[in-house]
Amino acid sequence: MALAAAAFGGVVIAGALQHDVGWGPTGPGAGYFPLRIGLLLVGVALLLALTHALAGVAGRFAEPGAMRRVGALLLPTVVFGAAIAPLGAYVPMTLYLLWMARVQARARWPVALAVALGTPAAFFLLFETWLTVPLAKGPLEEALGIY
Amino acid sequence: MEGFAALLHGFEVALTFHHLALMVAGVLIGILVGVLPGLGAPNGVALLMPLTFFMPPVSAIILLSSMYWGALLGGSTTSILFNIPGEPSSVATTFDGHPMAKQGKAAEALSLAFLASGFGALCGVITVTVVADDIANFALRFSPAEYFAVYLLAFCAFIGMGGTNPLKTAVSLLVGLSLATIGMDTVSGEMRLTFGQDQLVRGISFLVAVIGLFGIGELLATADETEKVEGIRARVRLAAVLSTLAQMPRYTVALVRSAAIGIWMGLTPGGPTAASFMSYGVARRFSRRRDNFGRGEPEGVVSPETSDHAAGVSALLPMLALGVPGSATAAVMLGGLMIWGLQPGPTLFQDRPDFVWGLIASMYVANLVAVVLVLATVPIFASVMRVPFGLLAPLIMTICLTGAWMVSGSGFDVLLALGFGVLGYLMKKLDYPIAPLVLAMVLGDKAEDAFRQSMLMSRGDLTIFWSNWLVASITTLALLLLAWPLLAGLLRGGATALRRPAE
Repeated sequence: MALAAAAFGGVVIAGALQHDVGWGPTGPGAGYFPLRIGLLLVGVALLLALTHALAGVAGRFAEPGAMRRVGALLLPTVVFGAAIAPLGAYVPMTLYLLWMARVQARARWPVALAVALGTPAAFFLLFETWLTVPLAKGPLEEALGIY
Repeated sequence: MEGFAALLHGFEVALTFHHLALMVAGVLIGILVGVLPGLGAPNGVALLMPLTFFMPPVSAIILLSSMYWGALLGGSTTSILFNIPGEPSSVATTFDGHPMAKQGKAAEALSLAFLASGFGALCGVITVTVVADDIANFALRFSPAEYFAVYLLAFCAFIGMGGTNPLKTAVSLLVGLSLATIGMDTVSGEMRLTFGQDQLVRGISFLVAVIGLFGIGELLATADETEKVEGIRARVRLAAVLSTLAQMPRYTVALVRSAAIGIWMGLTPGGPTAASFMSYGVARRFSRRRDNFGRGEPEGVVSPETSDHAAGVSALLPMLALGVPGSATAAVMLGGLMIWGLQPGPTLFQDRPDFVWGLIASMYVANLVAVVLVLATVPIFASVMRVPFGLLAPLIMTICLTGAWMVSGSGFDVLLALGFGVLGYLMKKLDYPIAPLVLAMVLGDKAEDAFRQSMLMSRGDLTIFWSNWLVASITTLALLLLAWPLLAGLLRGGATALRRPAE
């Protein structure tokens, strides 16, 4: 983690160097502040990595079962998140909730269906009808003419 | 008496039917958010933020701040009944609150917690009322150099007083500052750190980051833990509340001391979490029943709760008057203020007294509403915790992702929120504090602007930060706080070195 932070600091430095890092006509240039932040970040992160290395702590990050549980929650969510822009919010939401309730939580069919159909319906009423905040729309919504 | 007249006017603003309804709604949403795992106060405020864009700012801040009070109380509920802190700031409440509940004194513990919270909030808001004008007038004398020094002080206070590994806090802070620079540079108009990606031109919204870090990250961390939730059923009866109220004078010392700690930690950017831990520690140290702490000592519930709320309430004052938030939630609200087109800082007190005093008056009313509502609804909200996590988690995920979409209607933001979720999970697992990152993201641009303006004024001379007594004392205090972990280590090392020969 500390090394990743140092690498991110390196990226920040590289980005800052594309700009004026010194003194421009409007005072410190665009890269002035980010460059110094990046340098500090690399410094602090390396120091942190060093203290870790010296202390020699290599404790286990998590027990194996935990990683599987996290993955089981994270992966479908990523698929759902990626599907929102092209497919609209409602269809992926229904499928995601159905999958999570039925397969992962092993809920009975009535419960799973109620969650998967009820939530998008409630979202539609709350956001689009009451608060008039539009959510993402996809081909299905277009076909049904809900806009 | 200028302030008193302004406060009365504030009550006129706050006590309309519309605003009272918003307070009730805000408190109820807040309690729910505080009770649910993965939804906390900062994240809840971030999720509601897009809905407030079409409200007048006074209504918006009343809704959001009421939600904050509700969330603080909801967090204590789960701490006591389930041993699961709904908010980081109610971790200290679990130490004695849950043992009390296990001994069958759940109703007493809850009433104590809520009444102590109410007392802390009241002390906080009275302090805010009294000192608000003075702080605003004081801040009117600030030039960019003073502002940068204050931001520096906020950052250094987190590193020096945060309680976690100072290096990790620094990394979190610096990553936040770096993220804040992404997008168009406000001075030169150049695109920074976008690496040619059009999506990044607007910069990374702190709302998306908060939803990811606090919401999604928290859910992943909860999925990681195997612990089975074992709740204690509780119903709070009026009689129990009244008898607890009658006992309150017994804890006068703890109440006053904790409120003072909380107000101090809220005004200086220490935040409610640090305040509640510090107050618990102090209470245990000075209590006559020290051995009973950790086994269901009522004073161990009263102390952190009072500080938690006193800090939460008073954290809003530096946010309004200086533009420096005292907690992660206040940081999110500060970002909201800027989105609503208000410029936080002393001029806000002159230009928008209705906003400032409406908010302060609403804090009196909303905290009262919150304590009454939470006492009445504890059984209902506690039952939410009995829904299996497997069903609850995807629902909350859906809310988080929808919230990320609503920030600006872009699919890229949704993916970004997921990315921040993974980052938040890793940070939580590896003990990196998240609040400094959010604070830095909100303040980063302002700090950079203040720095560049000061540099411009002094033609690149860093001694501008020591050019008069005001800025010099703030800068020096900031550097002292930054060096505090080192100094404390040296002092402790010195003390043990001195003691050793005597042994």
